[in-house]
Amino acid sequence: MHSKKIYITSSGIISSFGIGLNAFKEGLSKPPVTSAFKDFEFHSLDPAISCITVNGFDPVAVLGKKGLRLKDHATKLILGSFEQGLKEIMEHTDDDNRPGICVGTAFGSVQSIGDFLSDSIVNGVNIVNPQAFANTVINSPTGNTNIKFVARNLSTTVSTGFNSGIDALIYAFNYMQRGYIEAIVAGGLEELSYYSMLGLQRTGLISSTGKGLPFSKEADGVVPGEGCALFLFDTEESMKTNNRTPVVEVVGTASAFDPSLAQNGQSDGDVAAHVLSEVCNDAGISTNDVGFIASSASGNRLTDSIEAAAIKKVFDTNVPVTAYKAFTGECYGVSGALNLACAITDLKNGQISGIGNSYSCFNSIPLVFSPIKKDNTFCIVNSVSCDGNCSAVLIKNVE
Amino acid sequence: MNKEEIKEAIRGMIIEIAEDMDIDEEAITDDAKFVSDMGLDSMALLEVLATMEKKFGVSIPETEFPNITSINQCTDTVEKYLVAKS
Amino acid sequence: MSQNRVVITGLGLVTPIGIGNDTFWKAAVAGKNGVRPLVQFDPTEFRTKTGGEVLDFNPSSYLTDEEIERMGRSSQFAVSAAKMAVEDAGISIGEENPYKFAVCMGTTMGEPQILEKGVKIKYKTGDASDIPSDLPRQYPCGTIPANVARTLKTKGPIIITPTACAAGNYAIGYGYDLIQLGKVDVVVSGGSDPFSGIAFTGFNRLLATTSDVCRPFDLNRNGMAVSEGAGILILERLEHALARGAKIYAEILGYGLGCDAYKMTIPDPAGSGGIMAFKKAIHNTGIALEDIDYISAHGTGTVENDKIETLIVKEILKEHACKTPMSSIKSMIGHTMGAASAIEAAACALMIQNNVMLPTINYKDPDPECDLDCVPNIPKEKELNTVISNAYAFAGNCSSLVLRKYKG
Repeated sequence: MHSKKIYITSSGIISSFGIGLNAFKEGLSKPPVTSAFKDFEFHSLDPAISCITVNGFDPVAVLGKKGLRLKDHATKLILGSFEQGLKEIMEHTDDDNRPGICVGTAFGSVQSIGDFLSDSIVNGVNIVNPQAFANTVINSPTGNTNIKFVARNLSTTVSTGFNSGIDALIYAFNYMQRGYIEAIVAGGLEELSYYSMLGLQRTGLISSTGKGLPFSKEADGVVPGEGCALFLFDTEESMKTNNRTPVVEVVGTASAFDPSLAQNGQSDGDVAAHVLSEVCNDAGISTNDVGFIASSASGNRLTDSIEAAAIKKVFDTNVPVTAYKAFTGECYGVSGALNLACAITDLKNGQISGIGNSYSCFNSIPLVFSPIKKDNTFCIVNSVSCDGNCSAVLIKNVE
Repeated sequence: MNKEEIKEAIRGMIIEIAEDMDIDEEAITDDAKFVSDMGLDSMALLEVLATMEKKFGVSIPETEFPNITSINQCTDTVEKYLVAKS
Repeated sequence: MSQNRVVITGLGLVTPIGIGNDTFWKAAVAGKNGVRPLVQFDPTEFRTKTGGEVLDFNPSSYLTDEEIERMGRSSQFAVSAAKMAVEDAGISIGEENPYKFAVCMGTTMGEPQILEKGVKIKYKTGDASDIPSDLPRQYPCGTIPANVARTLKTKGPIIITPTACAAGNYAIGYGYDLIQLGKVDVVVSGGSDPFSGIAFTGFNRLLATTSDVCRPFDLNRNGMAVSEGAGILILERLEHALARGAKIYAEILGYGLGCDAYKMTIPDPAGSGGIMAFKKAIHNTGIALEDIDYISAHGTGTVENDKIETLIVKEILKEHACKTPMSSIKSMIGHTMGAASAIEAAACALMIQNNVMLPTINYKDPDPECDLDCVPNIPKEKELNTVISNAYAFAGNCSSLVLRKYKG
């Protein structure tokens, strides 16, 4: 069993639903929006490509005019997310006890990295702005946040592709179990950028119909999204000392790697199934206790079919499965953290959100199409990536 | 480009950097020292050097870096290399 | 806090002064300089013409053609070093529970050469669709541990911490934690970075690169040397290692992390993050200051770093500082970015095994601001029981790793 009980007591989120965790309740009550967005320059990319950008985030309005000149979009997203209460928590905690920061991201700011490179190719290596170099390290958004809040206790960036966000939560959980620190702001971050869109398009992962259909045999790819979702992890002691209120308890984590999936793009789902069983073991509960599974299905047929096979191996068909990426799109390094935000919203509202029109799913997985009203105690936030990473976090509702 | 135009361009560049760093506008004078009076750090000084090279199309050797100290000093430096170039 | 002791049972190295433990060690003891005029990268337009390159790296010695085809240079380094380390440790992963093997890596730039290749194609032909469709998936740095785990067929957790130039220590530290928590028995841990045009351009633009060689702690030091490489350490639960009769290089006692929270590319002149990391490492491991026999420095060779680093050590060790040698192997191999602290940790393990401190080469004139014993130019014999390896990074990420001779 774990040596420490760990609670989520606060959050800071910028997503396609809007600003903050509160925006999720309304966002999840409506059918997912999967139309094309045009406020984004695609250069030579196919203009018909759909993506889901964050809504209602004006960096200057949220962060003020000062200090933004050299900050990239990714860094603005993370700094903006702190403005929903996390900032005050950082500022009102003395140096020694200030929470650490642990962020998962697949790319950091690939826009900054690519622009620095492009600038040095087009204008010359002796022209490019030296200050822009700082933004090319993958830990730049996290580091900038530590600097802004003088958070000296921990600055970690975690990167495991699509699983980065959930793996950052697991890193923070483990780091706290080791007793190194009492509180960490942990989560995920990903920006949409020309370079990431180009990469996804060349790889053939993007849906040409603009519809991400999780677990569907007819799915034709993912709809890329972006955002930042951060959670304050508190030990029980830290929560009490700081007089903070628990939202949910993090009761278990599990992570594994599927070499066969990474090698051949084929898998029987055994590793992903191992993770689903293991996360229940880690939490000390039975698979029958799980209220619902927040899957990572996105419209990528390969990983969706593997995740469906894994769920089928471990759970009875009466455990409902959701796929929040139908709403948010495939948000890469932030997707695990966004899924956690969705799961918390559903746990708190005694429901499981439905994704709208029904269709036939891999392994006849019990995907929730119409919302279900049901009070749940436990939820698994799961993630399976095409790189072979399989991770899960199990949360418990706190009344 | 005459001296006043160069100075005006450099002033604009410094104001842009200073505003973002929340430096008091009154602290920005042509003689004010970038580091001791205005609080710019060494990275900002490197950027000033780089921007001057880009903006005025001159190559300023690294040995001039210690002379990136004020708007007036920068103006003299740029003028020197513009003359050398022509 | 320590329930499961963690030992190092295998090492794999890819460095500009040698590939493999034996070659690396012989070169390092001989004080070989690996910072040379660049060959694979064209430095014509840059202020600096030197750096570190692993010129004798032949991926075919470790990887199949199919593997080479699908991996960037960072992954090729990492997988090659991992294969060396697993062989050195003598573990047959196929005969064990694969879920008990984790892979924890660190990097600064990830696979920059892939992005550089893609963007160059785009500018050359003006058409992004000329970029090969299998190229982009090789870019995210998460592919590095995935390639290691895929090749070794491990099934435990994998992670990469891209925490810039302290990343190797972060990865080793997290691997140590995974064993401590009972999650796994063995961790393939370390760091990897290939030579990056972006990093070379950036450090040149910061005027942070040396004019020729890297001379840490010297009065006339004038910068760091951009380099490349990989270092892998096999971390193993002590009982697991003993049960299979493994050779043990050293024990990992623990580590500490801290952050300057000062500026992205300028270290805190007061050394706050480094002091915090060092203090936490001492606290977490319970060692006494006078126990520290040697310090492996971050020692980049920049004016600022080496000065502040000396200050940090004096602040922590007080009167013991002048009796505690601290050298920088970056004088020989340059700055291998995210691989640096992993290579340095491996070097520490070899130093403990051989009771020899590796030197800081290119040292000529003492700097009053860097007045600790930097083991100048030639290696020195000393009984090494407890060793600290420090690594610092952009964003002020600071780390201290503690290794100890294993005596049962």
